[in-house]
Amino acid sequence: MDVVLPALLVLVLLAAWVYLPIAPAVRELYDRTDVAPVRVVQESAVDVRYFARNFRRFVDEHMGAALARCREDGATQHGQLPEGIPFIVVDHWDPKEPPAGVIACCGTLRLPARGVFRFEIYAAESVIGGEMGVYKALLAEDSIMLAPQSLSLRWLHAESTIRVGRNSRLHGRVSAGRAIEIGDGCAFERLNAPRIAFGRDIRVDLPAVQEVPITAGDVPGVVDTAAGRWLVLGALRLPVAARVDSDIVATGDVRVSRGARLAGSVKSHRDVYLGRGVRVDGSVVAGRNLHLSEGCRIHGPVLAEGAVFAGAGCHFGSPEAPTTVSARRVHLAEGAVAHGTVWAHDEGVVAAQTMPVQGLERRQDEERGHDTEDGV
Amino acid sequence: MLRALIVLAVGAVVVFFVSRPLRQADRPEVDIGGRRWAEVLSWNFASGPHPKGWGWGRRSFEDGALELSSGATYVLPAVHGSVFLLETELQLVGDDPGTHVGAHLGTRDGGAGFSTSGMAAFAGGRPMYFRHKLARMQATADFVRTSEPIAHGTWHVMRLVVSNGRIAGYLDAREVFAREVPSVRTIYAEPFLAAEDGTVRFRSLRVYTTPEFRVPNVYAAETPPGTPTVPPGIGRTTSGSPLAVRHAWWVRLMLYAFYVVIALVCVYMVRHYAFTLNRVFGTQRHPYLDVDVADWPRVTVLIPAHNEEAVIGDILEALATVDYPAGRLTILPIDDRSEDKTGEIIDGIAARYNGLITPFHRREGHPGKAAALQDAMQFVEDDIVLVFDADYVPGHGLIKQLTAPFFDPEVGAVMGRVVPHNVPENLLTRSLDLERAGGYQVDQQARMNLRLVPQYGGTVGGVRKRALQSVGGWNALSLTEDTDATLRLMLGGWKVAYQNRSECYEQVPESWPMRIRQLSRWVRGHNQVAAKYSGQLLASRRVGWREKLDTLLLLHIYVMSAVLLVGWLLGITLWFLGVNRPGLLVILAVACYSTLGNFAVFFEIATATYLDGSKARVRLLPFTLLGFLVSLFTVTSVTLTQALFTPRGDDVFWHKTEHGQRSRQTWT
Repeated sequence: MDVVLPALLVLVLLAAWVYLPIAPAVRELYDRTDVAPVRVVQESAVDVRYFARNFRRFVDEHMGAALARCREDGATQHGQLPEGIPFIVVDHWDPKEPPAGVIACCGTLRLPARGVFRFEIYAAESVIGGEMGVYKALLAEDSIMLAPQSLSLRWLHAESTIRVGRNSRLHGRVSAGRAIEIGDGCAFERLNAPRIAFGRDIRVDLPAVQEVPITAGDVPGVVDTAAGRWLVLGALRLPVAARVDSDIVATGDVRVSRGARLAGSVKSHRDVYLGRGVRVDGSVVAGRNLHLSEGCRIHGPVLAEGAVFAGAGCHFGSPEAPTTVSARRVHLAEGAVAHGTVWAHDEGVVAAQTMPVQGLERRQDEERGHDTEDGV
Repeated sequence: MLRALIVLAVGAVVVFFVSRPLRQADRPEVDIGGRRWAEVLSWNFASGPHPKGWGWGRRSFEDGALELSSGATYVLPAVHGSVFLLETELQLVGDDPGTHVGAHLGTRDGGAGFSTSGMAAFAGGRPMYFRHKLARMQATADFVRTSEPIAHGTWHVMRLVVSNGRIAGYLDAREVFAREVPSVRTIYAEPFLAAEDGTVRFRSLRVYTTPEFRVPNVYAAETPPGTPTVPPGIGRTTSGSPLAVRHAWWVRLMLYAFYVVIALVCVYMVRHYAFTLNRVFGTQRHPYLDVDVADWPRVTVLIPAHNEEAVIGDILEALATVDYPAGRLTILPIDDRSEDKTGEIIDGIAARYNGLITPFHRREGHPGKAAALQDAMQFVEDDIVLVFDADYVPGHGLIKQLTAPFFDPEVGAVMGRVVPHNVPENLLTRSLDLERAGGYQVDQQARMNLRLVPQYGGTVGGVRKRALQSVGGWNALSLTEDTDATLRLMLGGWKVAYQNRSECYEQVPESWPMRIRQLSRWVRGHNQVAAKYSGQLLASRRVGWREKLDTLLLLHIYVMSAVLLVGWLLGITLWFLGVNRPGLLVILAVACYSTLGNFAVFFEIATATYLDGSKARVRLLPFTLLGFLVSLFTVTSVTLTQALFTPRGDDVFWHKTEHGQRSRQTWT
């Protein structure tokens, strides 16, 4: 008996120990509380206008009738949305009106300076915001114009043009049907429009160069040229006005001197440096950072896992073939123009002057006594 | 499968029966003093030193005897119980002036020495000496017995018997001492001979124990500080049954093989831990996900189909309406000798989407998906080729998502994520859902994050045509053309991109036979690739060492099942041999693999369900052990069969997941 009892106790404890993880498993097996397949989003997950479209549908559903009446007689109407949030429908903004709730305007909405609008705003025509205004989200069927030092918290969308004054901060997404113009000193995250202009328009004069075709044999480090691609182990440097008709992949830095033209795409596992006026007909991919001097033109997507520094007058994509620029940080000098999407996950900045990296390199070359004619 | 089972069964039987006699020594039995004894050790020093003997002090072997001087000791490893008989023939040769030469006969419990029994006889009038000390807690004082001294120069037989609570000493067959002692069961392992203050010669040592004595399974002796270094080639690892002692070299070989298995297990454990932690805490890489606007290239979508009338219409309708620029998408279904209505359905749908769908009705050539893809490539004019199995239904934006990575000139292939849609069917589908989540949401994405080698999986993915052609195209003879292509692209300096958010529903096997067939194909194909490319991978200068290491681990992951089973067999065998180091660490290491092994990585699965936002389904984790066990034996049998009988197997034909009814509401 003195053996049986402890043995039984051990058996019971063992059974309990074994059953401990099994019990919830058995229960879930029979209760079937979580058997649905993981939801797969069928639409494109990167649709930049997703929120704007949803808000438009929301406005049509909940404020459509009020907007129609506003257009007829200009009457201001108050109401409440299903979640209890108030809304107001106006034909113009009364400065005495406290900015509470969702605002819908059947015409052009002019908002005061230093206004703080914590709910979405809709305008059947345009939205014109004063200095230092703070907006959660704006949707305009025509244009949006924000004065300097404005702050957008979630998204902006205009069917025509968005103009943002200097030193503004644009969080979230900004999309327009025709163009986005962003003043210098502005910070942004995600922009999308057929044309996006950063800062004032700057014309970069690039001297004409005679392209010099380069083959794989002219470049050290090329280990494979199969499939129309140069595979380079190590760093790659292309001379001034070089023309390369292949794709390029390099495990080291890629430095393309000014005036060169790459008919394919280029990728570096590290940094990419493109000199003045370099043209790339394909894409540019950098494992770290991408440095573009003034006047570069990139046709295809620009993807960097670090940062993109673009000098004045750089062009990304074209009106006929928009593209995507994406990096953790995007620093664009004034005069840069993009067609398509520019996406800075951590920080996007419109700088007023030439990129410091470019100047630093020149100074270093001069100190070393290098001939900077061939340099980036 | 039958042959594999036979091989496994025969192997198990051989191991079992070989290990049985090793557990217990062949012990001849003798009658001594009216009692039956089993011989544990009988060594005559005319044969020289015992192969496993060791000691300290001045020792030599001359004239057929062991000669010990002035404090020297000679130990022979032999395991016996607490009822034993020790016997030696000794001769006291001489002593230093002023001292008394003495001969010691004794035994102890190995390095710990807590239990020691022995007797010593002296010349020159010093009394005999007996000791019986048991364990830490019970020490029996030395006994001293006055007796006539042993004469120099003549051979004597000295015997010590401890039996059932009595210790007795004999000199030349005469009992010279006896005393009652506590009867405590213990194990001794090191009978020894020693000399004190002079020179003693020993001709033999014999150790007997009771015939009923069995060497215990767990036998480990602690090594107290100060114990003399064991000479190489002996070692405590050979302490065990006398047969294990006698044949120590192959026992050691088994132990080293066991260590190798443990090391491999730990490598995979670390790998899976690293992937899981990376997904939770590391930087996540989705470098191509942002590409929503671009000058999209022309793309051809291949859909290999063999008797897919149940599903082919769905995928064609879905592809016909995807978000992709008009005129830049070509859909090329491959009707490979279907015997059902697959061809008719394809033609019917193609007629409705004028120019978008270009059917290829294949009627000859090698069987199998890879061969069908290879033949279809002659009709592909575009550089980007996406491949979907017929039972998948791509979402509206999936084509753009899978095409985006090809803007990177280094990308040769892309892979999206497959998500089971028939999860609710039964326990198997729910388990496979968990395994798929772990494999894609954690494993593949971690490899993308860490810049290792995500695997192209043959569906919901694609290749760059010129890249694939530069490395030889689709391998028509491969069971897993996807793995084969992944390796060749990697060796050619191309990368594979994994897009975790490019998801597509799939149908997982709903019965165990179906699952086993699917797994068997994967195993055979995988092992083929491993055998074919491992050497090239190691020699490649274009692939970094991190990628090489991870790819080798990936390629040999199915071999690990067989390795694991071998490890278990080795462990069991060594256990019965009484060799069980490093003990608990071994158990832990093996247990780690059984919870973190191939497609059953518990931590990866749990993390994946967390990342997916699933909650209750993680409770089913214990049931994935069932899947692991099935996988373990399936993979092992297939691997062994392949290695032994079809090392270059080319049994390629259409393998596909059989379809049941499919619910569509989850796709809308």
